[in-house]
Amino acid sequence: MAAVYKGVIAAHSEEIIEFYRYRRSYENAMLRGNYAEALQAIELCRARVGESFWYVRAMLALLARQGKFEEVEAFSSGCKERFKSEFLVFLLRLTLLLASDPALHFKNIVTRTIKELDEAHLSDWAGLLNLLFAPRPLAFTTEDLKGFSAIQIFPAVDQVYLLESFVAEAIANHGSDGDVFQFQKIFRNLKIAAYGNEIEKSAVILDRLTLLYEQDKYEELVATLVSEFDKLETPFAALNLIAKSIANDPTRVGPFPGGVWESLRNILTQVYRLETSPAKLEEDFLSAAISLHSFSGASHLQLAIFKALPNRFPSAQAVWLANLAQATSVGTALTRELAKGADPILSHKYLCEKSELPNQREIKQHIRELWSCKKTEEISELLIQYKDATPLKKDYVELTSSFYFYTDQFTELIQFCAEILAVDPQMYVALPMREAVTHAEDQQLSSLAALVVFYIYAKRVDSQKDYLLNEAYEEYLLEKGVDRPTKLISSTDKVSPLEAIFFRDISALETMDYLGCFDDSNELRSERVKILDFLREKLVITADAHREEVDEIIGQVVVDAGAAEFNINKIEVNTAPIKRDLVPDITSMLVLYQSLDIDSHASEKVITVDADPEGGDGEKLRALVTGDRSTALLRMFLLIRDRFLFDEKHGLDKNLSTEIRHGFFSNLMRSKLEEHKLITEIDDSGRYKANLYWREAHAIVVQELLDEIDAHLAWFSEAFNKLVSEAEEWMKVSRQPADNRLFNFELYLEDLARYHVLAQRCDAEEFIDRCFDALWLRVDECLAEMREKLNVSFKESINQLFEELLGRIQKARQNLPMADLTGAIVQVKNDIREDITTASEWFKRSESGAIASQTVEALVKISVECFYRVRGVYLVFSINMAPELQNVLIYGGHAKSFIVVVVNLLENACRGSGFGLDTRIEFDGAVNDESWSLAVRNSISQERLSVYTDEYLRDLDARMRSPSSVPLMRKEGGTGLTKVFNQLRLIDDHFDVKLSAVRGTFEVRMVYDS
Amino acid sequence: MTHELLLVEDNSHKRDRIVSFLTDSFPLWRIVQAHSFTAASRYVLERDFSVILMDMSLPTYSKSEKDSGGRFRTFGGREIARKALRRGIHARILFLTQYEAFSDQGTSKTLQTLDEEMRAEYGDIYVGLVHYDSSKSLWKEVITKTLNEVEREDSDC
Repeated sequence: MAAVYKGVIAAHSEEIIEFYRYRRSYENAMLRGNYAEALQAIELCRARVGESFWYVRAMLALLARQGKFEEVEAFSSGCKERFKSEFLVFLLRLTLLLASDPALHFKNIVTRTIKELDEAHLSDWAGLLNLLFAPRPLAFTTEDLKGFSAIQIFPAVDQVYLLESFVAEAIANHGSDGDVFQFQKIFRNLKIAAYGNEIEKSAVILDRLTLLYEQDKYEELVATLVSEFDKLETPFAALNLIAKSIANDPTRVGPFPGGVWESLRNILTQVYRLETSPAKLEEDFLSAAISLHSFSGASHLQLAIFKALPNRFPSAQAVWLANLAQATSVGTALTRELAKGADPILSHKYLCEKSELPNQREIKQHIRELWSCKKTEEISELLIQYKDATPLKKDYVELTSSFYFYTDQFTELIQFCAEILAVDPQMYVALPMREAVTHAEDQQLSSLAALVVFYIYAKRVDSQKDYLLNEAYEEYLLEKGVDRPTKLISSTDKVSPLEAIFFRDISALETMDYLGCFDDSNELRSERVKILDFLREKLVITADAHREEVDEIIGQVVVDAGAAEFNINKIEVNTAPIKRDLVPDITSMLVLYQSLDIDSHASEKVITVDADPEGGDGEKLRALVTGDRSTALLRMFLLIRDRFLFDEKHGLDKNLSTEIRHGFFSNLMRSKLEEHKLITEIDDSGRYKANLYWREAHAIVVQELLDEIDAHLAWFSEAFNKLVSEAEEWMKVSRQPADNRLFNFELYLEDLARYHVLAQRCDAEEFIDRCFDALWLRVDECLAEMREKLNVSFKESINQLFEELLGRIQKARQNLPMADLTGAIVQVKNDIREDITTASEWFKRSESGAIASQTVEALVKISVECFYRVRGVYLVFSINMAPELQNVLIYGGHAKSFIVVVVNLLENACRGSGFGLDTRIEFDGAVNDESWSLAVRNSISQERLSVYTDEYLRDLDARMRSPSSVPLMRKEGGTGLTKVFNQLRLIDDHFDVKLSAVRGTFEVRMVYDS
Repeated sequence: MTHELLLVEDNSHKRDRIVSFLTDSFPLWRIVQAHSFTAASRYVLERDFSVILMDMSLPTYSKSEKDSGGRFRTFGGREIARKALRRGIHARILFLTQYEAFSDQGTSKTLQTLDEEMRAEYGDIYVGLVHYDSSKSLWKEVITKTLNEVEREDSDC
């Protein structure tokens, strides 16, 4: 095969040299932002060497970069007509998808296709897709690629640059010798012929740029880069130098405004400063790497993030990638050291003389020199100096943690990591988290610092490791001699950052529920509320944050309190924790959305792309090749939708799966059949076992007839199980239309249009809420459809099945009565209809339907019960309700909110009365013409009584009403009475709240005036 | 010698079927039942069982009129097994599940993958992971084999 390719290169060398020239012109013009020049280069390339797949990708990237989406559509339509190969058309579809949203479609389509091809043993084609679209190792493995022969489907120029990538990978994996060495020489000569001898100066230019960077001579650095840009073998190699220079001083202006270079540099600058979510920055960078994967020197681009975040990725990957980059084109001094496996933080040496370095780099260099000659005792002091000198906290964190790691000071390393993370959790990307966690796991550490490290690791790096956190948490408490965290609360005034993260974040419900000390959910929730009270008292959390979480807990209790209904309505998505997780990402995505050019939204265009070349399963994928705003919006919505549907702990699919699909539905459907021995099991050979019960019951009947009856019962068992399986399939969630699944959440374009308005004016929380609202509407539709399907279609099919069984038995039994058997069949046939009705009722939302419409008195009693479950104390209370109030019903959908209001009032009363949990409460309900009211009165201690002056009440009333509108409350939260007031207004505008203090009591009267 | 078996199962229908099978087939065994992760965790740490027969997915707390059972733990059984192992408990552990695959933090695991992982993690105390399908009888055969082996080993001692 190598000989064939050598022949191809020899036969097409002139074309290839021209191709290299145009490709370079195009790429450099794109990086600089000179799109007219880029267009000219690719059109000339096509005219000179013919149409190639590279040309198609380059054109699509150029058009997408400029937001010319109508032209994207026209261009791709033309390509489809010209392409004769189905596989090429498929590759075009993938390219189109990746142009619209690289990270999303890479994850959903490209990786899935590669996996499927591999599983089908079509590794050549999997290898080809890898080579074409997958940045390795950033988004894939470093295993040897197959597909060497598959590239022959392309024109000669495509074959050559793909072959070059193959060769570079082979060198990264196995070194340079034999055929690989020869190919490397051939490519070198082709490039020299294309670019001239200037290419040989690339290393010198990069070293000069590095020296200027090290000396912090920024203007000179940029001037040199701009003037020498076209002489660099790959400009990606210099990205980090500029990005970090600007990170050190954000007032600096970068080169090539509006170009691809600037976009990349900007992401990297943010990575160095770590002021926004690292996960989002990594995704942005991955998107860029996918989009630019066909550029020469793409491995240098990938390496840029490895250089910026040396502790984030496995060092073996960095070494492999540096070797790949070196095999492609010359890199910086740092690349050379990485390729040798040197630690980039402690072992790297500046090219510059120490005397010419600015202060912070001089200290760093000194530390590295001491490290290299093992004089470690002075380093600690120098690290403190470095901390003050460097403008980038990340650099200090990386240097210090590397020092502890390489000197085997793991206790200090874990303590350092914990202290940094407790203050700034985003720093996890700058710390050697994998190494710290491996050590802590091996040593079974359960110190407070280890807990913090485990917590951040499970939360941000690898959620599958959450068991380490749970186990260390339990162990930590055991070692402290307590069984629950509140027993560690001391009376000390100050809460350290580590204690704060321990109580606030680690001691959450989902960690504490691993402990065996709580008897039930209510005891667990009560523990969390006590922790929240403590955190608020110590000012670790704000009153708003306290109130928000307590309300959420009360909400959970309320749902459980509707226990009578609990087993009926099973559909629930716990959106609160999902929302909490989403808010940081959606906040930054909304900022991005709102900062994007509004014109690109106006020019957006939608192109429908068939993702499956064969159309085999009929699945279509809509690629929204749109303006940046729409892409950003789509990403936000899909992120929210996917978490709502597929969140591992709280999503809809999880709920359907655990509450209904797995076991509960099939068990209920079979239970009556099993009770009457009408269904049998399958044996090892896959056949249904003989129904011994009915055989024995009819022992006197002739064998042939028994066999026939048995066969009918086996047939029935099989058919029944099949119907149940089909119905279970309806209960699955799908993102795309699927005939057999009812919970279908396809996104329609008109849906998306509505969210543009919201995204422009909402904050993240409101935007997420609105998306959830829309998703709930769709869930409600699906639930109605599901109930209908079970009650009509499924019931009918089951009915027919029984009819047919009866008919068969009737025919088989001839004149024998077999009354027991036919009676059993008729009995179950009737009973199972009820069971289907019961199962269909599961398909209702448990939250809204958990409590039916209730009287005010009933809700007051539930509220007192909820208060008890949250606080563990029954309040002393009395209820005095006007008889007419029995006719006033609070609608079920508002019942939960009303209970939360009353519980809030009880909390408020206990806090303000001076009696704490011994506060006496009076509930007083009255009806008057068109209005009704509920007063909640609490006793006030002598000490507190003097506070309740008229002026105080006026001020309290004014503050209660201060967020002048309900929408404002949503943003500003509010505590105590403000929350009560606004919560009631959210239920109904006709509610008002009146405050008064009479005869040693404080009264809050909720008035509903219709 | 009387053997004790801990049965950890939250689904009452499935539990009843298993108990009915065990009492019919192994009348000399004492069956202790737990309906949740927490209840089972407490039993495992407090008593010495010959066999622990568990569902893989469990609610955190036992469901009641006043409690929906807390968080549903997809790998609750596995968590209990880890607790047992960390405390040096050597009961034989057998999982019975109605799931054909498990979704764990975005990664789907088949029964086979999970079986291999647990075999490597728990060694000899791990008996296996059996798919429970009330329409089939394989699960009964595996339980029978396991309990017979325990009885035989004890009689050899």
